[in-house]
Amino acid sequence: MTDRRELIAGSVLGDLTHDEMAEANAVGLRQDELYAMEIAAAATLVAEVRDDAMPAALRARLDPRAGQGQAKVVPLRPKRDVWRAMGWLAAAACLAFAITAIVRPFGKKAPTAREQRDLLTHVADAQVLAWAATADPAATGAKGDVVWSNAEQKGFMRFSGLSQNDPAATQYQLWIFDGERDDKFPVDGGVFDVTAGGDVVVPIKPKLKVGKPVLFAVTVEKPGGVVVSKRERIVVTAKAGG
Amino acid sequence: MLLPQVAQGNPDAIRACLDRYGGLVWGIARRFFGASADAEDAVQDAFLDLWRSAGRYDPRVSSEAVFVALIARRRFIDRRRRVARRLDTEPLPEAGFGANSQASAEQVTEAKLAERAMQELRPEQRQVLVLSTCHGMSHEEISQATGMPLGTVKAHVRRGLIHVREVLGIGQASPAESGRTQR
Repeated sequence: MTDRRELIAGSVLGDLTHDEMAEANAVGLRQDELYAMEIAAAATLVAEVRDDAMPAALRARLDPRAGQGQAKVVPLRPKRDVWRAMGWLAAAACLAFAITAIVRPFGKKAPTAREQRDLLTHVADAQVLAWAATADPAATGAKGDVVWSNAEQKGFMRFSGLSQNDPAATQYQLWIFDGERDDKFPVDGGVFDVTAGGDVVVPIKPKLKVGKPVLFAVTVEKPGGVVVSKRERIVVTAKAGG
Repeated sequence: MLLPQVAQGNPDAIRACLDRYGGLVWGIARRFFGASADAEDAVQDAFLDLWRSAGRYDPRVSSEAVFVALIARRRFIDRRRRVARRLDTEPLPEAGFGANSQASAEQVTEAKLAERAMQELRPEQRQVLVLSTCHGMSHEEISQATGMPLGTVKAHVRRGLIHVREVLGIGQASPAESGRTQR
């Protein structure tokens, strides 16, 4: 007989065998038990996944100002006064948006990736590591460095001489080997393109928290990147703590 | 708290919710779908479901961030495993957990506890749990990627998740229902 907790976990993970499903039906798993296990899975996500900046176009599509998101909201207790107030709020939001749009061009510019990279080098725990090119043809003459602050969980890569890629065919992907994780599963540092010559600065977007970075490596992957790299084309590496 | 206001249809709360949790939901979607158009559609589905489900959020049971992640995970799994057997599209329960409910939940408390629980797992268990819950990989895909037997992957994911739930201290089965602690 399968442990009840395993039946609950299996239900939430969707991996029950036919026999286990029959067992689960026979013992009658409760909604609150299933929900608690789902919360555990969701808490794991919140603990492990780092926020990623949502594309501006998607954010705009979801914004109630666009009318799309708001139209599908199902208010539980609609009140006339609330809707009237919302009209004023919407008008105020539009005015604020218009003012921001007018004023922003005269305000302070957001720092460029290059400026942010230079600022990060001054953070106490920041490491600046030189790239070592491999024999891969894309890496011929590639130079540059990676700046990483573990406290900030933030970093930037700088390249010169790394071959330009065709984003429709391949993309570069950064991997961060973490001393606290199995080296079979380095942290995905994000995909990027080199579509212009000269010096390129690329922000690092780690998908998970990095405990102790020991090696940064850039591979060539299919567009969009991969979850687990076959490591067939490694172009540059930078060893930390050396 | 934003979700009760979202449930009322407050557009400012909806915008604030997108600002606060958009990065989290997009981050999860990127792990499930990569940088594909699917990721954008999945995020849209997740937020539309969140607007519909916001009224069921219970702060005694979880933080808002965990509730948002739970809704997103459901939608993303729906998208990835439409034909798989699963029970996680059941409607959210109306009530909390009674005796086992927390009086209140600070934002990210569960995340910190979950992180601690993950650290307590054996490295191989932690890996497969991350690949399963954070990347939405099937047991078969994990087995292929790690070289672990399928049965081992399944056991690691299940027991890892059970351990996280036990550390969170929510919805515990009664002593008669639960067996030994498995890790």
